[in-house]
Amino acid sequence: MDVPSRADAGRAVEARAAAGPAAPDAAEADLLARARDGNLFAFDEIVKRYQRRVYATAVRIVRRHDVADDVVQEAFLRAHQALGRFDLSRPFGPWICRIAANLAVNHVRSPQAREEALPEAHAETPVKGASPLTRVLDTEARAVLARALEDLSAEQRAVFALRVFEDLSYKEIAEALEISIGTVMSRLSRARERLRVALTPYLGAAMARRAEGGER
Amino acid sequence: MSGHPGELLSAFLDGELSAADRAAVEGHLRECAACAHELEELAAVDAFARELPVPAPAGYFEELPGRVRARVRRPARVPRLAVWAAAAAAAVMAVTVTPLLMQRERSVTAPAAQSAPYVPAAGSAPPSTVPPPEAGFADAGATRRVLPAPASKREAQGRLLERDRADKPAALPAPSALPRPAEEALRKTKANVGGLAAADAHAAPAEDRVAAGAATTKTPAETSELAPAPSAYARAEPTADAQKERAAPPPERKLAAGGGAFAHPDDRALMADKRYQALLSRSATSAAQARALRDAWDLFARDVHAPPRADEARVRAIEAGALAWRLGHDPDDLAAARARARAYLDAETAPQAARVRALLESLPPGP
Repeated sequence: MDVPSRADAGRAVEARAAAGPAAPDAAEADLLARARDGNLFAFDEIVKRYQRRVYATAVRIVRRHDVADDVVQEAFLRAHQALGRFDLSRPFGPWICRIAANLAVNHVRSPQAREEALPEAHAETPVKGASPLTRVLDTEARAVLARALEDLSAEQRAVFALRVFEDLSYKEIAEALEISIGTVMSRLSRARERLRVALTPYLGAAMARRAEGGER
Repeated sequence: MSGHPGELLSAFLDGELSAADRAAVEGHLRECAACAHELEELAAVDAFARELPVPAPAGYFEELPGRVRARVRRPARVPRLAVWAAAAAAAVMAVTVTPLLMQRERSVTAPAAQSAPYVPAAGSAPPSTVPPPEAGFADAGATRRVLPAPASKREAQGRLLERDRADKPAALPAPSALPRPAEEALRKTKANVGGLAAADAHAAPAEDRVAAGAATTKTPAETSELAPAPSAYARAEPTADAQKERAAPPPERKLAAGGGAFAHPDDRALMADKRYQALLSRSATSAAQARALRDAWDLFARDVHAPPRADEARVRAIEAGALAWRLGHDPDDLAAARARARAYLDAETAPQAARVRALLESLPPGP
């Protein structure tokens, strides 16, 4: 099963929930209020809305399903415990993703995590659509990108994930990961630079295609 | 700007530069084609990364809410690691302590009548020692919950949760015979679960099952601490099985039969056990699969009359029926699920009424 980077196309609700840091809708605020009052069904609904997004954040940082699974559960538990302090006028998505990112980075930083086996090799998901050559190139580029992401430090992955997938500001990232804004800036820059170097052979064609697509 | 913007390009891309820096970078980009190209590539990297799929095992997102729910309901958390380790520890205890108990019991005339320490028969532990997989996507996850993982992975699994427990004292001294990680986890389980099982006797069913599972792994000495049985399950299964286990098989057989924790001396029970585990690990991603699962649980409930599992099977059949509706939106499924849930709640004994009532309330009003 694949989780698209921003929204799950299959589910309208989740797509809305995953649409970035927009203001929370009234229904969500109501759900959160009920969850805060101890209504488990309301919280269940919140979990359903955000689970894919939180999982995506976690797995992008820890790169292992089993660890991401622990992170996701723990993130929801902590969110549940902290709901009393949560400002209902703010969107829930970025908040829970920040919790997950923080847990994920702490996990990867831990000495034990370094003893763990490397993540399994990525199954190559063939790219659909486009010409056969493009598909091959894109599939290859994905594999290269996946490896390059794995070669980043967890701290770099966390900053990259929160910025690129979650659209958080540098200030929000700094708060989430308890680092300075300057550190956010330099980590993100290094991460992007490493990815750019790894992907250089593929970027030209991709940019050209995008330019064509934009002109049409 | 005298030199190339370097790190500033990335922040420029994000609109995170001060006005002065932004103006400087813009000025540079107008004159430096290399940096302008680099900026485009950085933007393309982001776009590429956003297209990268994030794989998760099939059925994972169908099961996750249930697992989160079970943990949210539970006041004190029992991590999988601790539960597993406690089960493993119980198996070790069964091997090392059972012979002593058996010796002692030979000199006691009426073992059935006493409030005898219940040594968890390795075979009677199964479903409840495994945190209830409302989960159980058939592959990795389910397996992970049942089988011991490699040491480093097991430690990793417990680690996230251990931070929360750091302030809790390890209440009981560890049996020195246990291997270290198991010993550690068992101690934590004791600290957490001992209180939970006794204090939370009326908690929701999901907790009950876990608490019961953990309770069945208690050593003889602490079983007495759990005097008020945490749930119907904790009371139901052990007694008969425990006596049988204590009386019959030599402990060596338990280990030989499969690592201890899940072996069972009775073939029929073993079959039922396998069937139960197989059903637990089955997931449904379509309405048809959910209906099939519902029917399979029904069949199991009819075949197995032992209260805890038969009841669990009935409830799971109702849940699978509700899942069929959620996946297929067939009004017949909804009506059936609602009717079955109501029937369960109307029955004379409904040990998991809270769970079923919750499910019923989560369904839209029926026709």
